[in-house]
Amino acid sequence: MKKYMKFPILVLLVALVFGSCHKELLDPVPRTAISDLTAFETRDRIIGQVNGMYASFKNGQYLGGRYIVYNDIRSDDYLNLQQNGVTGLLTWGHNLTPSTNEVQNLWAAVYAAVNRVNLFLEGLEANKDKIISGNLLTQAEFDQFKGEALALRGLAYFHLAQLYARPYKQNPAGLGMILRLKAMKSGADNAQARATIAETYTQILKDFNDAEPLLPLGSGANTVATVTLMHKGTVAALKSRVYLHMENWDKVIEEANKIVSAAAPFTAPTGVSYGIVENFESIFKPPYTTAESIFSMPMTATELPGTQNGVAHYFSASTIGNNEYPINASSVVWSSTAFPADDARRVLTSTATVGGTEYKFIKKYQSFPHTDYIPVIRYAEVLLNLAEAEARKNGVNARAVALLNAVFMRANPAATAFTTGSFANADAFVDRLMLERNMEFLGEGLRSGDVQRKLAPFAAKGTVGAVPVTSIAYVWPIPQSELNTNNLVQENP
Amino acid sequence: MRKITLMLACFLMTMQVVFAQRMISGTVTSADDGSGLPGVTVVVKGTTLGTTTDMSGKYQIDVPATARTLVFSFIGLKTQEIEIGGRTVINVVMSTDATALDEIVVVGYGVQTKREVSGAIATVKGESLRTIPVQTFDQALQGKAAGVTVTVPNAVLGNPPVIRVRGFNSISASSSPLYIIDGVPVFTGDISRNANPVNPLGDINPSDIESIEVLKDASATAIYGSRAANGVIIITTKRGKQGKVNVTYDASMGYSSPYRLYDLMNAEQYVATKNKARENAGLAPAYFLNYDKDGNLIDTDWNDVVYRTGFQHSHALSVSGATPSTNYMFSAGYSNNDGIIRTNSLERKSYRFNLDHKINKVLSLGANAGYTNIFANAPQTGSIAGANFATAGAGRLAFVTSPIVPVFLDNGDYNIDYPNNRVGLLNNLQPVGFFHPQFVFDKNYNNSQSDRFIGTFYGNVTIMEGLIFRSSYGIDYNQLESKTFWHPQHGDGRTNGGEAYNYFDRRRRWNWTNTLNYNKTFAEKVNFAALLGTEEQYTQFDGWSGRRSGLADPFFTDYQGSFTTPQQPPAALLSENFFTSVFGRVNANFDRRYYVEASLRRDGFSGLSKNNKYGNFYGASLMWNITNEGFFKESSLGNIFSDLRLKASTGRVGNISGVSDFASLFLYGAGTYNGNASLFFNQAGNEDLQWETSNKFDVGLAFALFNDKYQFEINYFNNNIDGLILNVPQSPSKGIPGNTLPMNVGSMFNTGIEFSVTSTNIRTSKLLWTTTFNFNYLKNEVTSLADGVPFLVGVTQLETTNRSFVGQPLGTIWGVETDGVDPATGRRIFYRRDVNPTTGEVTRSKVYFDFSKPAAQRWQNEDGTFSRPIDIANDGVALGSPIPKFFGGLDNNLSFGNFDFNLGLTYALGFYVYNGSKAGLRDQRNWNNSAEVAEKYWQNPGDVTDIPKPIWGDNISNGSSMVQQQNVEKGDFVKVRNIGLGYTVKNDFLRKASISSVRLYTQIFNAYVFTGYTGADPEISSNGDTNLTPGIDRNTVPQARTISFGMNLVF
Repeated sequence: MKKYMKFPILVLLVALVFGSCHKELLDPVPRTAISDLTAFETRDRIIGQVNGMYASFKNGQYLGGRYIVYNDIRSDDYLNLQQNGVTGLLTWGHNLTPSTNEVQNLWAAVYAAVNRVNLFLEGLEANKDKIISGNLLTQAEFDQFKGEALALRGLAYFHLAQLYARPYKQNPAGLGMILRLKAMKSGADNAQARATIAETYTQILKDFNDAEPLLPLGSGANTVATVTLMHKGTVAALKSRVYLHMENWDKVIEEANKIVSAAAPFTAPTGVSYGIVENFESIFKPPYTTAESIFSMPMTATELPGTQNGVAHYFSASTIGNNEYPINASSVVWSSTAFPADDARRVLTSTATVGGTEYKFIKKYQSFPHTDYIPVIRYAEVLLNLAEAEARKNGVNARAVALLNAVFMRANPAATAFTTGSFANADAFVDRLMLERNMEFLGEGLRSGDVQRKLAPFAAKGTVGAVPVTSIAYVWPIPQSELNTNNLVQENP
Repeated sequence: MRKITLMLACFLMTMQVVFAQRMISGTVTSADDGSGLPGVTVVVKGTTLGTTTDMSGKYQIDVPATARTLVFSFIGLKTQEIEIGGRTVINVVMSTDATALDEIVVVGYGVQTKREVSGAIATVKGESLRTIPVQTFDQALQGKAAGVTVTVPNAVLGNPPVIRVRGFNSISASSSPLYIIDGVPVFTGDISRNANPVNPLGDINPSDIESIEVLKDASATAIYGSRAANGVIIITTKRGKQGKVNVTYDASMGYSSPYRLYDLMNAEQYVATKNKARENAGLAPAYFLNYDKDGNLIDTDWNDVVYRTGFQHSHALSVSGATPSTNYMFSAGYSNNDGIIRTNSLERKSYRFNLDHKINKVLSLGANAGYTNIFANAPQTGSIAGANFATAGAGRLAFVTSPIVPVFLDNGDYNIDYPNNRVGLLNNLQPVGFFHPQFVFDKNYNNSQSDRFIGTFYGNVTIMEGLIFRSSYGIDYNQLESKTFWHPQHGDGRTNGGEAYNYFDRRRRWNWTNTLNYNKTFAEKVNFAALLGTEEQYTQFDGWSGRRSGLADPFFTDYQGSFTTPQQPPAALLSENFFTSVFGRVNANFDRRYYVEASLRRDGFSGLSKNNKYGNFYGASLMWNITNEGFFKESSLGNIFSDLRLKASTGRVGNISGVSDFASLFLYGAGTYNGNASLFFNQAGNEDLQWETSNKFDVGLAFALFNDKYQFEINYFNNNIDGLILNVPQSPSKGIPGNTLPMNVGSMFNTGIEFSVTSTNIRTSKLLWTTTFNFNYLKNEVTSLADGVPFLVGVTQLETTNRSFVGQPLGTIWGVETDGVDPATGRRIFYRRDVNPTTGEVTRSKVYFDFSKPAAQRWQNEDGTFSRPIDIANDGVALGSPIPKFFGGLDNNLSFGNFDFNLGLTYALGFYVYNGSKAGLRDQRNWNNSAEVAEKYWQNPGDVTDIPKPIWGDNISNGSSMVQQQNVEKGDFVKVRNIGLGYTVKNDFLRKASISSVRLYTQIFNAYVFTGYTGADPEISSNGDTNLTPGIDRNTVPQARTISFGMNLVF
């Protein structure tokens, strides 16, 4: 027996020793993701995070598609043909509940973008010494990226407040947004109450104001970079919109003037040479970088908004879109006699027959797959923001009328220009201007905000009745998922 | 050695000469097939005199005059003692060991006899699975093991069954048991990445299985530590047995067909009902009857387009045998199934080679190797998790498509409205369906091909008597290639001008186990066994994929063809995990009366954070075998009870399955923004994450009567699970990726009673009737969730169907209350629930819904005022538990002469199913409805019916928009799982052809369901292997009934 003994004991010893030789396998490092601990260690990673923030805003649930869609289809501008609960039917019909998909998904997408901004801002500050002394970024780049992050956060809170809070004008002391300004990574801090609407707008403006001096001015003709990344002019343009909602006319004028010359032809006096382009349709065609595009979400064949998210899916006729939301021929804008048949914006439509009936669809988004850039803010809007503020502040003056003409005449070159005499008073001017905005920005996500900042009802359409300001449906409910997890949040009244 | 043997032989021969007084001879034959049994030991009782039978089963032995009895013994056969009397010829028929309690039971890292098992273990013999016409053996476990529920989700081939051992033991992690095949923990679940499901357990040829053991309690499972909480299923493949070479060939063929399909509206009913609905909405008729070119009414039953009678056949050939030092088993299998859904098919080729060889007294080596290739195809069935509402879902297309349009136009083309990507309208004015199923079947495909190798190589070293060292190295390698193609003209492929996806996934695992086993009997009465071991297991996932769109030419149908547009490929897989473990077990018994067993395991897992990598788990049991007590043996009960054992066990085991490999880490993912590289926070980890722990307690009583003729086992168990890993919902405003974080926060318990009987009702030389029956009671209750998380929702793709909350069973079906249809107005009656914000008091009031009114006036209170809309969030209530309270199976086997008959039933009682398909079948959009809608809808005041006044576009009254009480039904069922009839032929004619026996049989599988459930089958799982959303029947294809014919040949 003895001679057999040695062999197995040897085997045993080797095996037991060898058996504990793979300890390193207990600490695997993921090879397809980067640890938070090293996310600020190289220049490329920091720049990657900047791009990552923009990409989060470009999410198909948010600026890449659905945010634009929801803000348009709440109005009376469209009919709904597909009766599809997952493509905005309940938003269109003002039948949303806290658990409706769009209410929950949009909220989550915007706040996810906000948290990425907050993580970036905190990481940037925490690693500042390393970043600067290690020459990962220059001070100018450091500032610029911080500025871009802040500006994006301001934009996100403005967008949230448009849908989930009542209009500023109605009651600034009302329920605003949950202002998340710190990075969230753990299970703590679920509960946080909503700030007031005034506090929300203060934060939005603070972010924009903090961002503005840090951002690059840009110069010369618009480029892909100036259209898709935040610049000083972008922030000025966005602020003109925010102040418009607050009816702070002085500030609208101050901000808009940063990129609008005193007299026609209106162009940006400094920075990127924004201006009005002659051919309306060209704004919506490649390369999507006309002088009019201040900020847009870029799309490529490999960065599509996703199934049933693309703006074109909703607004364009088959086969670019899905015949979802044709123009409502009896809408306020479409039935208006002030909207001429040969208006370039009216002409930019296509038709499709659905269920035996012919419908008109807007044709701003023409690509399939959906690679059209999605406009977030355009120069034409800044002109009209400015015109409204001028008229409200200074009465129907020449500049206000010239600004309106710049937009109207571009689409109707043969029409007679407006004069100050065309309008009885500022109210008449603003009424006409609101119609102009409706014609100009069909399918660009501005309509709901324009209705609400006037505290006007949503007009009736098809089988859907009008929604007065007093209705619970006038703004979106706070999502159920937030109500379930945040015991300090209050539902909209 | 040789010298010794020779001397011994000489010595024995001398002895014979000296003591021989008379010679006895005879033949030993097998009771199974009448063939001679070689190698049977024949010994004169009380002496060492003996011999063995020769190759034909013949023996002769000289016995002394004093000899009274001969003992015939052979491993696996019942030992027989025969009185010699005055005979000189003694023929013996030996049968397999009838005393099942002496059978070997496989336990973790070892074996025990059934009588000595103190833990809760259920055994299913491979023999009982062999002829059941299923693709994977796990489907065949239905009703066969106490405490185990097997839910086959539907008839999609290869769709993994949902297996629960003693209930749902996890919420966010997996509740599926650990599967171990010949010592290697193997891959499980649906590993496919397209619409064709792939169950890696389908790679095991059911004919190769010797036995399946289900380990249930802490005592039995603790040796598997952190992976034991959901039970452990051990599969042991066949080994060669001593005796003559055993060659078998099993063949079967069969037909399967869907049963209990919905009875849909025909063309006339459709036109009348839909136009009536339009009229009720103030709209003009939109649907008209149409005729084909021969003037026949077009009345299409789309069930005929989607379903078919599928043909299947399978073949298994095996050769096995053994010499005293070597045993071997070689098998090859082939099966080809065409499912009941058109284009659904599954082809399997499998090979196995098992070998054990004893080199000398010290060393033996062995290997198991199994290779399987599977090729399967499925259309988009809408019947696997997350695809319920797929527009191409075959289950749904079969019932939503209108009967008034044909499959093909008069000119032979598909009836498709290509620009709008839907079924063609003819002269109708409103849609008649989504995608055209025939086109989608003909032109699109989802297929998968897998190559699987599972093998182990082991060595055993006998260090000294009773002490054995074993080292075993096993691998499980799986390569899976999945392909999807969507034709550009119509269907899913239309939007992107045709699309193709290819996926290639590789799963690789090695497992190295080293054990020391010690067995010793002290002072004749103390039997002691100890096991000490180490185990390491490393697993790697490596998968990548490609996606292209814009098919250049319809000629191409593969990813490798020509496309115009590259697309962002679906997510890649690249991951790994590692377990390192030490474990031990001691068993001891005193005089086979008092048993004690304890086991311990320490596991380290790579997926947890630095401070939490290790966990300790244990189990222990006590058993008292009363039958071996002297007082009992002497009592009158001793003659009745052949077995009486009291058992108790307790322990703490873990669960980490289904938790991400990097769950503790905070990670940034990569993407692009306008083509520039981007990086973004996409995983919030949890550094405090730990194992889920399951505290199990069991008491049981096993007893057998009349020489084990009736065996009973009854167990009570309680399983408290703490530290459940929940994906705790975070307030979405925090912007945490996915809005959840994994945390150890919840707790839940399962408690229940298992009762099983194995009875030999009649045993005569001609007739054998056995019955096995099991009955289970199970109670599941969630006892805590995270702070601030009152419930977890379960989502069936687009629909919130379940809620799990404290005090209720997991996955309770959640929806709004309804109360039939108002006979006066034909409106559905709902219940609104209003909570008084100060008192918290809930008031419940009736609300009537009328879709024909303007949006703001549809919901009306009893007093005629308008109500807010009814909504799941505000008005939802618990509508029933989807977890059966009672379940089990009943099997009867009868053999009479050459005939055999079996009848297997399974049953489940005390649970609810959400019949979401019914909601769709009553929807008042263009969808086709069940015939009952046409026959029973409300028409006139006073009509009492459950189907409201049809109003065009109404997707609320019938439940399409939310779960409603009228669609939640009792699921109680008794299912005739199988009925089989066989005839065995053994005769000289066959024997001349070297065939020892032929069994011919026919069988019906899923023969019939007794149930009040109105859907296709209450045994359903639209969400696959899910914890939060069980009991949902939504747009799923039904089950298949299979009639098969087969033959088992033994050479």
